[in-house]
Amino acid sequence: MPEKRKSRNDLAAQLAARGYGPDQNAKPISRDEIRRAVRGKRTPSHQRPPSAGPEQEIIYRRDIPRQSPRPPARRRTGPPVILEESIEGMEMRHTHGKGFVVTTRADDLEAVQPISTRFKALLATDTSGLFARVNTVCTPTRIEPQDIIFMDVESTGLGNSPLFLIGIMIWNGSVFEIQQFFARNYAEEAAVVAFFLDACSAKKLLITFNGKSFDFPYIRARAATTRVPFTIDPYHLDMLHVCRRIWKKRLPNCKLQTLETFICKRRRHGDIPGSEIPDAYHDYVRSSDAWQMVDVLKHNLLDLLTMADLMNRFPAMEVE
Amino acid sequence: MDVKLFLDGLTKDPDYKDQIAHIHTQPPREAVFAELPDGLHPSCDAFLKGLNLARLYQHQAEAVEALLKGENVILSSGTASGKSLCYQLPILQTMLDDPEATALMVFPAKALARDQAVAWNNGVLSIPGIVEPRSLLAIPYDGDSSAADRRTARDSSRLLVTNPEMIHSNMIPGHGRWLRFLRGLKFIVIDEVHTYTGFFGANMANVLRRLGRLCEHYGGNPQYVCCSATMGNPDQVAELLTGKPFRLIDSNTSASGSRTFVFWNPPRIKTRKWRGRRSANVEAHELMTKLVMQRTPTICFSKARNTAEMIYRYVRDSLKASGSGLADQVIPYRGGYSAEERREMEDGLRQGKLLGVSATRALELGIDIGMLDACIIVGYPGLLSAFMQQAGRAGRGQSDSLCILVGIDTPINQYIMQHPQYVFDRPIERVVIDRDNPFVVLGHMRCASAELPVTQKDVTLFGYAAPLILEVLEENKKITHHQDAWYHAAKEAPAPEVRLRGYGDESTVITDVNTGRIIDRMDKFRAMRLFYDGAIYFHRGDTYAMVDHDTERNLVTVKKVDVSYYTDPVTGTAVDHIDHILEQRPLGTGQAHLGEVYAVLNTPIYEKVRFYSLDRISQHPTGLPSIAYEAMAFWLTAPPELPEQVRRVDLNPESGMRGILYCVSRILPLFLTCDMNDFDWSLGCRNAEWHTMFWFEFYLHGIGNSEQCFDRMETILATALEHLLTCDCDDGCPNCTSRIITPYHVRNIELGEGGGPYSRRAAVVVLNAILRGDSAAESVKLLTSSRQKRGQSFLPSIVDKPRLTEPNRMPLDRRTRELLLRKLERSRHPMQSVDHVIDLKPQVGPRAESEDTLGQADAARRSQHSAIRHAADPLSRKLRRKLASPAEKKKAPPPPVPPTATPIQGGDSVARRARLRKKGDRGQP
Repeated sequence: MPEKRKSRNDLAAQLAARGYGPDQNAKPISRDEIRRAVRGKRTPSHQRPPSAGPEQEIIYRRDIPRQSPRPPARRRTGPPVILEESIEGMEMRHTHGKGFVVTTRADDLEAVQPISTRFKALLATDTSGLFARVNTVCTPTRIEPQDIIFMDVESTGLGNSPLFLIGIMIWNGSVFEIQQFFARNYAEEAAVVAFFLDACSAKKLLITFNGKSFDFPYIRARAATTRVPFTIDPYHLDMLHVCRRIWKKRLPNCKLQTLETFICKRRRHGDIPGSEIPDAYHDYVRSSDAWQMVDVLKHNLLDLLTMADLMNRFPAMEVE
Repeated sequence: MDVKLFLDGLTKDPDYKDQIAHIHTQPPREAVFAELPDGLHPSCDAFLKGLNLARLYQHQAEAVEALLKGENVILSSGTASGKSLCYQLPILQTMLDDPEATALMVFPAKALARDQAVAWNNGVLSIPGIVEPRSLLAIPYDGDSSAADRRTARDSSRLLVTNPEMIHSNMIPGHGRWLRFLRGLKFIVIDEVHTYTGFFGANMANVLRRLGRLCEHYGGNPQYVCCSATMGNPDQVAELLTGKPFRLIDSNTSASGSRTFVFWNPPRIKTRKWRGRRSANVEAHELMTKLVMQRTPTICFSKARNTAEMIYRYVRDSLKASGSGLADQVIPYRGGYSAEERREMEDGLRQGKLLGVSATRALELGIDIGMLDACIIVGYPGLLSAFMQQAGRAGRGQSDSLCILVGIDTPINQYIMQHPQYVFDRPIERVVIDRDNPFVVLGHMRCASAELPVTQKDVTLFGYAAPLILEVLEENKKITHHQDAWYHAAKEAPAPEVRLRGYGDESTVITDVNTGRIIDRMDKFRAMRLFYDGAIYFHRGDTYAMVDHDTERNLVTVKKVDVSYYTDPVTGTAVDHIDHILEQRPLGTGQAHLGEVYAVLNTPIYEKVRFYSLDRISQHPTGLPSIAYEAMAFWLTAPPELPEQVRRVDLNPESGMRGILYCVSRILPLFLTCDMNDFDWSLGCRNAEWHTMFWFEFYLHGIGNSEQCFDRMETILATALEHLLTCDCDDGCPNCTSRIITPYHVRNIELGEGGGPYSRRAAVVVLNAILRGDSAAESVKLLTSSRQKRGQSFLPSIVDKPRLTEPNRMPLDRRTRELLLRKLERSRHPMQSVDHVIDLKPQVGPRAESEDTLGQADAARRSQHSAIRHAADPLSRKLRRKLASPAEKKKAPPPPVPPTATPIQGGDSVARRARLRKKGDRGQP
């Protein structure tokens, strides 16, 4: 007899009772910290005070209050946000064109340091869940932190539409460093793909969330389209499948955001929903107003961080 | 078969006296064989043997040689002359030589594609000692393919068999994953080229442009092979479709016996007022029964699915009654049957197990059914090429064949019965494809920009209007310009919005209540005319009553019943109202307009008709909602006093105007690149006078034809007038004012169009008054004057004149630009129901979308993707469900369903239902 399906709310309540769910006592990452991390220089004039919510849960709040889409004329009143001014990054050249690269280090974002330290420690411990999972993918190679690359893609639509952002997280000697390759217009896509492929070719293990069926073949297709030679063939750990195996029965679904809430016990407030990202990007290219791109970069950055954080929380494999 | 004996039998039979109107005989032809070209791989010989062939005909050898040399080839060598072999051999040779080589075969219909894949695979599997037969197998890629099949096709296929829609909406939008296939692409085979005419042809040409562009991007350089039935200008059509030079091979060196055409006119019966002759369907079934009783394999073509089923039913019943035991050897064949059913039937035909098939045009294309000895065609199919194609189905090897055309009791068929030269002395229709039509290119350039950035080089590829189109798309915020290229700049994928065949790609599923099986699928347009309360539906000759028609979810359920009648709907399309007038100007004494209209397809009533006797039992309302479609139209308003003047000289103005409508639509192909079926026409509408003559396009929001007609109305109408004036008939004939029935225009199975020919005299009076301002009396005088005074000294036969050799160019001016913008805007509008509030005096002048809505996504602007909406349904689906069951929602969920029961639930989609049912079928013992 199959177990009766519980509604999502019941499940959430039960999870909370069992200790899952947002951690009330966890030390929050302050907003200032986040803002430092992405270095938004400009504070919009019409910034509203944060709404009365449970302040301690917030991992970050968007600088610009998000509202449902409205006609562009009314949506933004302040002066346009210039990407190059509000986000510290640099234009980099490649044989396939140029692109915009944003680098985030541990001293920019406090959360990076503890995650990195723990990750390194667990990877060196043969009994840890993290090690076991990496090991199943990479046997017989022994993986060190500097062999690993985390990756997350943001695309401009469905199907074979262009991508505009690839975020990677790699080991920078002692700590993780996040690099985001951003295309400021459609023509820069080739460079973005090329930057990623260059970065990836030096690494042994690629870690993604749903990358086996989406991100990786998608980048391969885009590389074909933009005529960037695609030669990489790393080991590939798709965390979605691992997470499903571990947490499927306990969680309503295994989306990254759900895992972040219930497993990492963090929450994003006012994050840009994934479904709005393509429109936001087209809007940016059309108007050069990067007010939403700041959020997209944050979204991507947090996705990468959460992936590492989740790996730290993999339970040890049961002994068969 | 012995044709002479059979015909003698018929002429001597007193029952069949005077039925044969004409006999035409084509002489037999000897086969010319040729050796296999040198250098062919030994496996090719084995492949030939696998197909039971030893030698090649000369035209085949010629084609194979040309293809191996790297030429593009168009084959137009008649029915059953072995065209597929001409491309199969070179493809096999190339695939064996080069392990990376791939090939693509495109067929306009799914069934054809699957058929060809099976034939190819049989040949390949019979090659002895082949190393890796799996890599050589043809893989079908169509809407029926599962996700796993599609992945296989994408990742490992070398010979892909598909249709234009799959290329357009699945393959090239995701081209990055087809890198391997596109890079190795060596051959593109386009079969049944004659189907790519008009709108479909223009779309196909642009799909091929996009495909070619991608091949070039990935380094593939394919050769093209086109195959076509007999048509006027096959090489030109192939060149227009693909943009490449072609070598034409149109000699037919295969053997054939003599072919006898018999024109058979059903006897007159004067007992009833509404019908002058016996039913052609009943007549055809008698002929077919006779032939089958003589063990002659026979095919019978009729125009509609219903008639094919009905003739089958008649034949089956009379064979049963005769006790010959042949009833099982006759089948119906039409579109809509399931793939397995069709496959079984085709196999039966090919292997010679069956003696008779009653088919629709579905069998006109090259589905391999072997050859038959006799062919019966019920009603002239409207096009000479179609007639010849159907007749070509009969004739096996060297034996003589018979083709009988049974005349329906309509003006055109009766005219053909009396004037056989109309069929035999006329050149076959020419086809012109307007691939640069700005309205067609608009959609495809949008798709192209989403596939790869559009560069300056592509601008030349897409024809003369490309710069303007890029401008329009950029203004509409669909694309942006960066660094010498245009990029797609919107979230939504444009390909699903560009439809290749006009209306009607939603499909309705018909399920049998008793067995729970899906027994038929048809497009919604057709289903909306066929399924109403009380409708009788045919399936394999059995009658089914309709139980329920869910017009929202496109589901029909039927139940088998045994009744002695069938139902015959009366349907028609007409302009419902004018939505918006874009331009108007005076024309002679009348006024010409160009604008946007709402056309509707109505099925107001149906009749119950008894089998055999064809007695009209009763008439009933159908209660079907009308289907609305937004169309572009041009129209002509006659001066208000004109009808009265025409009546005074004892002529019917309405008949005259309908005659003009018909005549003009027939001569339009002389002035612009369109098909006769691209325009429909009607008289009057809700917010215009009854004496307004509308010609409207059959395609969503138009493809620019109406604008061109509007610009040339003076010339078009003058030519029509001259034609009407000089026709030699008394008062209307198919050459001037009567209408040929085409599949689009079947209104009623037995009556066809109904009504007599429209009055040529009245048409002349009306048109003369509008164009020259002549009074009715003057026009009548002109009509009775001698030929020379009337104008031309010979009868201009419009259909014989070559059509335009070059497609028309639309001017790239402000107006075209506005119209393109308007088309984009209109496609973003939510489709309104036809019952929306209308202006009695429609606005005049162009409209433009406001700047602040342009940034909005298309999906947000449109309430529903479907272009076909039923009119009388103001409630949304969600709202309707909410209103219908407010209590149900609060109820506890039903207990878990045991897994053995069919797990179909209320909200399941059609596809899911079908899948679940299939699973359920398999699960049950």
